[in-house]
Amino acid sequence: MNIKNKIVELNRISLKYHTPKKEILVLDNLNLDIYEREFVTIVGPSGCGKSTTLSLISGLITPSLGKIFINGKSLNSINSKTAYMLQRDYLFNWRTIEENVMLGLEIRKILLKSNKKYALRLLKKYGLKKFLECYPYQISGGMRQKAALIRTLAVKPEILLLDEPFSALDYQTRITISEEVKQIINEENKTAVLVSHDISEAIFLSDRVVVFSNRPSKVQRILKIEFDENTLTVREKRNHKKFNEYFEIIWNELNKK
Amino acid sequence: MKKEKIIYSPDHLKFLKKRKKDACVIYFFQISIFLTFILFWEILAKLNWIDAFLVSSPSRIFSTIIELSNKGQLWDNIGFTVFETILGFLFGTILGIIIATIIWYSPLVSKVSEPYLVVFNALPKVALGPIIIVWMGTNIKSIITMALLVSTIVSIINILSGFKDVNREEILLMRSFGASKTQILTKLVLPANISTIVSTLKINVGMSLIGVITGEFLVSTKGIGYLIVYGGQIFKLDLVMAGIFILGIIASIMYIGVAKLEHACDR
Repeated sequence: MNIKNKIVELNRISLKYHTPKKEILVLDNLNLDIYEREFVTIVGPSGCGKSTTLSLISGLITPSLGKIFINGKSLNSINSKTAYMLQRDYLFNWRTIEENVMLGLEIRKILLKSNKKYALRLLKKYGLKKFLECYPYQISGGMRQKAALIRTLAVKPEILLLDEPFSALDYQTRITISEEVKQIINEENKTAVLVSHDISEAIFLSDRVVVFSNRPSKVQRILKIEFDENTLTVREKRNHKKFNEYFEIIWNELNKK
Repeated sequence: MKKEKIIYSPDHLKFLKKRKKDACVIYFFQISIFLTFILFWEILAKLNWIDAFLVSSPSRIFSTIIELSNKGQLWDNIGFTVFETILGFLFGTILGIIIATIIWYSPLVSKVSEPYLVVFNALPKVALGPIIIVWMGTNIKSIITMALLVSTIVSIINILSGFKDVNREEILLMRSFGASKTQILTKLVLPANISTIVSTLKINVGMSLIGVITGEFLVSTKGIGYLIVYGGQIFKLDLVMAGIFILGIIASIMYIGVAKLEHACDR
């Protein structure tokens, strides 16, 4: 990251939910900047509005107060620069992998030859070539999650919103797939915002980790993650002495009263 | 995917044999219960232990059906009832899908219509018979209306609950791609509910038949329902029993047909 372009700016965001009995303040005066090609992970106690923050960035919900800027422009409808990857892959069983990957293109009505080609290229590049004609229930969980990522990438988003995309996978798959996803995101020059409960995952995937406070949430701490070399694998990062330092810092932040 | 030739191990063969045997045992009992029942009925009637005038007997039912067939009344009446039933369940389901879709589209319509659906569902539709006759006249229109009344409301409730059961996160995914409500409907909600719709079709075979027979009881001069009512009026219980027997066969055939369709969809 040489030139740091601010791609997302959350400016004094507050969000309230209403139930018949009470008003819940989920986010209180939240400020957060995300830069181009950055991998940011949000961690925090459950119910602190991490996923809500992703929905805000995607434009699916609008804040009660405050403004969101995408590339300097104020956001006021669905943000077409973003795309989601969710905890479960939500590949539709009545579509083949190829058809699933084309879903976003179909919905946005941009099922052009060039876009299709791009999606197919991604599928081939990242090892899903032989599963094109398969249905989701015929392939493994890791492969499905990769297909879901490519479905997300196919619409050429600038910002990927990852809402605990690995937490439904078994431990081993989780590590290999998360590493692969990180690599794909880097190679395709995307910005990513990940929501996670897993501190280790946050450390070995991110450039920065953002710790949210308890509800009503604001940013409690932003931690820059820097290992000495850039190209460490997950296992190398795990054994690095800095890993434990970062882990301790985040752990303490999360347990602060 | 290609099918590979499977070589069975002896244990596997034993397992398959046992499965086949179990299936045979079940068929055997199913069929023999039916035959025993028919046989006893016939014998008791022949021995005059039961009054065949009141309860009829298998041979009398059979000869009644033959008689109907000879008079050219059998296939006419069957055709009439089957035709009405098919109309009833097809249009009932289609109407159900359309109305369920409208209700799904608008949360406001959904909430407003809820008590009406509940009341209309609980109401015995046969109570509306006199009104239908006055409005539609004593003809096939009344019968079809009755069949539609019975099947549509069940379809709406069934299909709507399927529509509402669609995973909220799948909808979130669609929306994050910028999908409109129509796109969510056509690309997610409808394909996700194909099996709900087919199973509704299955329920509606029965529902529509109820409606049609009720309708025929009320207004008709044709159809199996008419034969049954007529038989009752002239105290010809053989005719009533024959009608019931034919209805049973019609219902089974139609049900099996739709079940086959369901199987094809599940594939």
